[in-house]
Amino acid sequence: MTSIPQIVVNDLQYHYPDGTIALKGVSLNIYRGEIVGIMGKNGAGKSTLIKTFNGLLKPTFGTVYVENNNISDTFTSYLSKKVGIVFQNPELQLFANTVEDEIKFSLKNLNLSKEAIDEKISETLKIFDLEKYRNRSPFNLSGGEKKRLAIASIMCRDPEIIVFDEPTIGQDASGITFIKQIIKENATSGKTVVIVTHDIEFTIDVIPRIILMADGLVVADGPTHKILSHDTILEMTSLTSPQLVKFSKSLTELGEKVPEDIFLVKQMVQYLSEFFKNESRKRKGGKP
Amino acid sequence: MILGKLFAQWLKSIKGMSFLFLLLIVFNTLFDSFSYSISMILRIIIMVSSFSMFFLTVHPDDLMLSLISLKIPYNIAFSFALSFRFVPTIAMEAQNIIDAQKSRGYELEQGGLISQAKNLIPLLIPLIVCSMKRAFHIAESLDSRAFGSTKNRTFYYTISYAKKDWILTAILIAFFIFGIIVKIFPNIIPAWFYFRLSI
Repeated sequence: MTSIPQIVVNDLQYHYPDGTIALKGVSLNIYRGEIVGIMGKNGAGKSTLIKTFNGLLKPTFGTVYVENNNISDTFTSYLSKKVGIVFQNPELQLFANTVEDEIKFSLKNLNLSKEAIDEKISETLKIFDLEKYRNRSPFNLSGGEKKRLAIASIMCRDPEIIVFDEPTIGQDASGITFIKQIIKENATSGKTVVIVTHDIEFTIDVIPRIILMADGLVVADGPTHKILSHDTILEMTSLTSPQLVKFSKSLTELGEKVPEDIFLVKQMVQYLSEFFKNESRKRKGGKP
Repeated sequence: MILGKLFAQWLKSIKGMSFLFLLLIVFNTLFDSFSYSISMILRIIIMVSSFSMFFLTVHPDDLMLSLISLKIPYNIAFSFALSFRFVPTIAMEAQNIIDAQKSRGYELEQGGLISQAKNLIPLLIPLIVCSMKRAFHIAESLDSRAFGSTKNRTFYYTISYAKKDWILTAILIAFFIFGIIVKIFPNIIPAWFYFRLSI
């Protein structure tokens, strides 16, 4: 079952009405239950790409299939039940008088009974820790809470695919931890998560597969540890390598051969402790 | 080439109004005559195209400088020019809001007139809120760049009337006076000059 991709993008081109060509032939597959990161410079076409997933933008050339629906002839109102996009700025979508109404608005078009809607609202508010703000105005919430509400208003619709556009921007540490947790929980429950981000440390923690874009094309697609330790690819997309990779590279320059695919502090600690044990054993062995 | 581009943009704005023109033709022909409807349409085209010509060719900064040379206070001239500068930004933001609401199941077209008006609330409130916020941010950043700290500010560029500007002004005034005269004494122009539609 997992061999059939959930999102199939085939030679997708998108031209904006003013003539700029945002996508110049993108092809990629995304499978059910995956967490995929889309990275690249500003203007590489990341946002344009994700907007085609629920049909907000229709391909100029090429095709996009989402769960076997060709998005070129499917309405966004139908696709939005399958694909939920959480945009960067939560303020673009908050309008209701209370937090509860905000979520109710998202549930309005799903043909649910009144009881089901009420139940769903309570459940969502609980998951996103917004119960105490139920009757507050969304405009009085803090930045992190607004973001949580924006995510909640998408997630309450139970989409199969959730797309985050820059989820970590403007969030404090606890906000980022919460977003990480939500993403991981959803992926384990079989949902597909696509994340557009510039945040390298966030990527290492959460995302196992990266699609790198530059100038409207996919330049690399593969496991995070391979892509983030590849110098030429990183240079092309003006990403900086993770701190631990820099650390192991400078150790290598000093004369010690350190593997370059260490991304987690845990792995580095383990490597270093083994290294020091070996060293001390060598010295002890050399003394007598 | 620039002229061609301008013409294309102008044509686009006229095309956008073609529905209005159709309505005008239908109603004016029903209640008056076909020739009257044509003259109304020509009037609207002149109005729209003069506005669009103006804003397509005059840079907002030049507009501001010319307002200042007309002795309009800098604050007012600046906010006038600023409001034009933010039209495309707000249009882009409106598009983003529509996208964000659509991806949570919002549908633009449904129901009768009242429910359609109600339907605009999810778009209008974020737009107003974001615009207000931006206005405050602009005010803060203007303050932090010492806006209005001195009474007589100087300008990097200045504009002044050249000879050709005077000539153009004179021609335009002449046309204006001619138009008024013709309106008051229509007999000045020989009858053969009028193009009449007899429907």
